Amino acid sequence: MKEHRLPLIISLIFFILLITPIFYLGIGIEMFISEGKSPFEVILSDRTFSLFGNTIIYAVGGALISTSMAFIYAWIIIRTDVPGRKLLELLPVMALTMPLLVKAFAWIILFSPRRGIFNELLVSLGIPKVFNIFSMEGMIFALGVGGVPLAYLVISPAIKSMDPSLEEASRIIGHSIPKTLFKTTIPILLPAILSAFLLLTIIGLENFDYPFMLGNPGGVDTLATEVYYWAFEHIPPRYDNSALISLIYIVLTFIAVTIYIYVTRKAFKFMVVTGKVSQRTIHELRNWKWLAFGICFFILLLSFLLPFSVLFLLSFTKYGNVYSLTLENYVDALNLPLFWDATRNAISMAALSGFLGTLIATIMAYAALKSKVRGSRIIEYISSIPLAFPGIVYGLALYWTFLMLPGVSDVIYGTIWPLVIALMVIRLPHSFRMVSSNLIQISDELEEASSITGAKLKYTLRRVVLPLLRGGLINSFLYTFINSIRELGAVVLLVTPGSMVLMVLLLNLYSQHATALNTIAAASVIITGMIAAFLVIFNLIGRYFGGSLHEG
Amino acid sequence: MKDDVVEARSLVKRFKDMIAVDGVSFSIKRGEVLSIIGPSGCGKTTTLRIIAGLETVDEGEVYIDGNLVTSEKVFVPPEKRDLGLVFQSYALWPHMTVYENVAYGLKVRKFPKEEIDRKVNLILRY
Repeated sequence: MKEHRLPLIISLIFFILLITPIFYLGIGIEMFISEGKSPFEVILSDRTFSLFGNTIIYAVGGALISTSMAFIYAWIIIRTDVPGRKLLELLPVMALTMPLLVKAFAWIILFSPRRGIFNELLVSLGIPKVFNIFSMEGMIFALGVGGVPLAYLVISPAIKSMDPSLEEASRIIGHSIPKTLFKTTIPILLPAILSAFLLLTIIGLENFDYPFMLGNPGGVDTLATEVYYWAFEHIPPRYDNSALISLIYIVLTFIAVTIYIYVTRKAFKFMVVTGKVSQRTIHELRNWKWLAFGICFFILLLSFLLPFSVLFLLSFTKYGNVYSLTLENYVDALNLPLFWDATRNAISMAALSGFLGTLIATIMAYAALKSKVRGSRIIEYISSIPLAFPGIVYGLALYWTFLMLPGVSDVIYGTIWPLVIALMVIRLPHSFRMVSSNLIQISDELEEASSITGAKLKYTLRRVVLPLLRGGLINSFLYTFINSIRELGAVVLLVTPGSMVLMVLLLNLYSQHATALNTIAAASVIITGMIAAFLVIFNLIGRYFGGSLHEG
Repeated sequence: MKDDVVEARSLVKRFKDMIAVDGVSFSIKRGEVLSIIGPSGCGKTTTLRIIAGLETVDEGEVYIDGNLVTSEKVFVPPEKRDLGLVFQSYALWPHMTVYENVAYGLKVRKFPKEEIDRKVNLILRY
């Protein structure tokens, strides 16, 4: 059969984009050694051990909270007759609109040890202040409730596709609803729960936003903040230290990703074959209805309603005067120098990385799943490597590559392209998975039938494969687009004055004028609203073309 | 032979260790109808797929209208063989209407629009 080289060439380009920057981190370590220092002094130091410990505790703690909350939430919504289900199902979509950085602002306003609203409330009741968001507990809390939507998106399809008769059989034997939940439902869903937990752990390990905003000010550092510190806060910058920490960091994330891939291998194969929808029966909660609703509402409150309302209210008031409403903050936010540039850059960066990422993911997925070329399975593995690249590390590696490669920096430095490449690469595993899970459902026969009629490959792709793939393509684009606007870690090192984007603008505003919280609140509301608007628009387009956000 | 429309000569197809088709030979003359009957897994589908050009062979040859289209060295892609095939699960394209499904092959072969219309309607009437 005629081999088409394009997929292999594209995969190779992608692989080079993956490897080259990481290779440059190696040069950093050479610098380190050439100064006569032993890398093991750093690797085996107490400091590194505590960074390791913090990173793991933070990630695992957050993932535990996210996974258990999301499971409870999803189970109640899908398997019981809790009131307001339609509304509660919107949670993952609503919560997606708030960038982590923006949520961090909200938690600081609510729980900061000095002026946090909840602490002041306690003081006015005569109780000493107890909340401190600038701590390990604070970080875990933020990550935990922040990760609920994603965990929900992983767990809910599994609960939906579970055969309800398994639960019914347990009820008939004589088990109560809670007993059924623990003896039947949870064991059956364990693969999905475990894969959500591991995914959330990886995200926690690689997260930069909360450790930087909440942990670092309280003296709790993780590997992510340490990489940032040596490269951008220490004077003079110590890129060699940064590179060394990055490499240790990648070893940790690689182990986590390997476990994740190993554990989910079977679970994912399983998810592909299912698709039989039997009639769904649900548990009647009777008197417990409102308790279940209360639990769901509480989770919704923490993961979206509370942080958003705080910023929303704050954005209409002036500092120190809570009772008169004003639009001044919005005027201030819109008049920020670079605000419009940052908005334009963020949108074009997100659109480009979404488009290119989806294109590359599609070609790679097609080669991996449909072509009979030997070795095409390797492509599937290559596509998941970036899962193990923390945004901050890949950002640093790219930054450095552009500085070192002569000629490249002149062309690309100061443009949004470094940001586009970083975002595209770190989101590719997700794009690949979204496209390939759609592609695998398109039976080979549909393509074969087209070629039998005399259609060439190009025609078949255009008329048969792409139309059937629309849902996956739109999901992949949307996911990368939205997350690119929200991303901080991968872009914070790559931004230049000429390529300012919204998240970094917000961060700069916060670090320069911590008192400008009202303006920050207004800008945050604008950005959240903007992301929500994009979500609605794309979701409408997606629905029109037969895709929907819930599939992703 | 000259009047053979399709001829298969000792076809062999292996999937890893499994031999799916083991030395199958037959020929079909113009106007003939041939049925291949056998238990599941005996290689009926694989044989058809080899003739259609959806699989390669490990040994043997396929001739269509006297021309060699498949052997260990020769391979004519399915779109150049001018055949028809009904798939096991029909392979109806779910994103197209019934009309578009029927008309697809005619469109690919660049029939004029009126003729496609006439042919599709003729077939779909019954």
